[in-house]
Amino acid sequence: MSVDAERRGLLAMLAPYLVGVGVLVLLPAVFTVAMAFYEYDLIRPGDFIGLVNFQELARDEVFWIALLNSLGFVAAAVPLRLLGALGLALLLHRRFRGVGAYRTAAYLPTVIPDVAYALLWLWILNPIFGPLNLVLDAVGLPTFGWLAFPNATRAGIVLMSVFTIGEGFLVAMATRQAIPGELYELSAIEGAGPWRVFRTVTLPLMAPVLLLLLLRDTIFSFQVTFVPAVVVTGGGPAPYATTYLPLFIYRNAFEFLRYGYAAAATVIMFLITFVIVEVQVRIIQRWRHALIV
Amino acid sequence: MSGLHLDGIHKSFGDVDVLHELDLDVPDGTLLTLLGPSGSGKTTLLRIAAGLERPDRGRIGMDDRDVTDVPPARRNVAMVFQGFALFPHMTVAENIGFGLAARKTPRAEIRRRVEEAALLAGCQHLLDRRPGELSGGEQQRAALARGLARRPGVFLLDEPLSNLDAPVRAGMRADLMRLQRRIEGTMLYVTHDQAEALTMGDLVAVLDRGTVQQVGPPEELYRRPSNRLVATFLGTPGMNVLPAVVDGGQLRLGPFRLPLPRGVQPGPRVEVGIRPAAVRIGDPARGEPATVELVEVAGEDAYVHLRAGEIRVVAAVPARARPQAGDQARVAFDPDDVYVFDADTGATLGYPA
Repeated sequence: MSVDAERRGLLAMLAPYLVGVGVLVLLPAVFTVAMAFYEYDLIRPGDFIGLVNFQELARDEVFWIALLNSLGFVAAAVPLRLLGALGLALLLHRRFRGVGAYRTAAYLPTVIPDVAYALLWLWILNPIFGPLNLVLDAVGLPTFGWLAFPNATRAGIVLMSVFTIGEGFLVAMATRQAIPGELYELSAIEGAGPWRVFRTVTLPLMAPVLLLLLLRDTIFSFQVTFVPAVVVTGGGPAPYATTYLPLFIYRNAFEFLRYGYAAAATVIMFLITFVIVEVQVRIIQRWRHALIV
Repeated sequence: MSGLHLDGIHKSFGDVDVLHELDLDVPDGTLLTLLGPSGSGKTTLLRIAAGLERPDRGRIGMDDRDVTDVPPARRNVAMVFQGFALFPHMTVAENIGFGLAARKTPRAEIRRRVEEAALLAGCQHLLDRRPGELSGGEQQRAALARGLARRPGVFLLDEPLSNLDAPVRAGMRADLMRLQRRIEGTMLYVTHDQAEALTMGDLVAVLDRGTVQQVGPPEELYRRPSNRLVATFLGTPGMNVLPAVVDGGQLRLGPFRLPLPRGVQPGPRVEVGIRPAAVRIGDPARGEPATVELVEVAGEDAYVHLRAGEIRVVAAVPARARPQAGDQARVAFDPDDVYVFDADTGATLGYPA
């Protein structure tokens, strides 16, 4: 087959995906960015109003609360999720009796549909009859007013997110399994203890993939709060304890019919995600020489 | 440095007996090559010596210390792996100093010992490089230097040259031997390459089916193999082994007759071993007629596959004097270079004086 024919073949096979991405992702994205500069309520034709939406966002107390809530969630959830994925990978990468069941258990929460998962947590977090408080009480630990007090509720949403790390766990486990066993045997002979081996062998060799997971999870975590906020907390406790950016955007667009305003908030969320990821990439590149294998 | 003593080592994996009540001594300062076909258990033995595997039975001693229950880190051994096992994210210097750093050696001392070990192994110019930037031979030097840096009592080497290209391998082989003489290191060196085992070892141990078939200086194993297995394993091409009948004072194999070596008490069924170099062809006045079936040329030598009646033998001759396939030739065996084995047990009954 000639190169041209091969290219055409590849293009033909890519076409459905490209059309999908174009129509369902790129086009709406372009519309969203454009809409941020309009006032539009789905009924009347939109009015171009320049930066007015952004100026209003800057003065909107609820927007600032939602932004800080989202940043707080990312700051708490991303490291915990990464640690969880790494920890599970290190526990379950070996072969032993029953490991398949443990791996499945680790992955399972990830495959539950978001809404069903959120409904489950609505029950788990119930301060009075939810199993979480019952268990905490039974083992003599303090119980919390999950869903009743702002900080406990935010913590509850983070807790929810910590169990849906199946993909990160699988990727981390595959990475750990790819490290040759000889390196660990050599470490044992050379007299390196478990902590030293983890610090100087396992972690550096897994680092490139862990950093990739960090970037992916950061982007993901900005969006992942939507279903819990809608289903579990309704954005509360009142007024806005768990109103994260996605919920703020959703309410403005679909409850208040302020599409332009919601689009402007979306653009801000995108820019913040972009900046955080960019900063992470730069930090990684600075450390690259010590990490990349 | 210290000697290594393996005493009654038994190891099985599931139903498979890998090592069978095995005894082996590596005297202090000796390079012992452990030669065996793949699956003979030689790597398992090495891993048991290192402490990476536990024997089911038997004791492991280093000098007068019983280390059977001592973890690898406190056995004072170094291991060089076939795949080098260098840390890809560390420089050569960091790799070499890894064990010293793990043992909380002061920084200045680590640097001194790393440089000393790198110099010995011939990789002092590579200290700041990473393994990915090195050739196979250079990586193996770095791995050797890492073994040297801790000044271990015993070196365990698992086919360290088999991942290298042939020309590099020859050079590394000589360097490794010089290094061993210089540090008077006790080394247990596993290989499946009989030429490597014979040229490198002060002592050679042939391992097969989980037991040591014979241990001794290379020349002794080559000249006086204790059984057919050792005899056929050593030398290229392998020894011809032919069924024979004892007839009076003579060995009769097909049309050939050979005097029975002195002192041999032949059993009912014997086999005769003749090294290819002891097969003479081309003298029209001597020997039996044979057909040349195949000629392999290996540089200076040619290996001539011959058939005389039911008997097939390989002769090693100078390549310039080789016959062509299809030629008729006369074949004779050097009567002073004949081995006799018990056909049933494989035990050697007689070998050349």
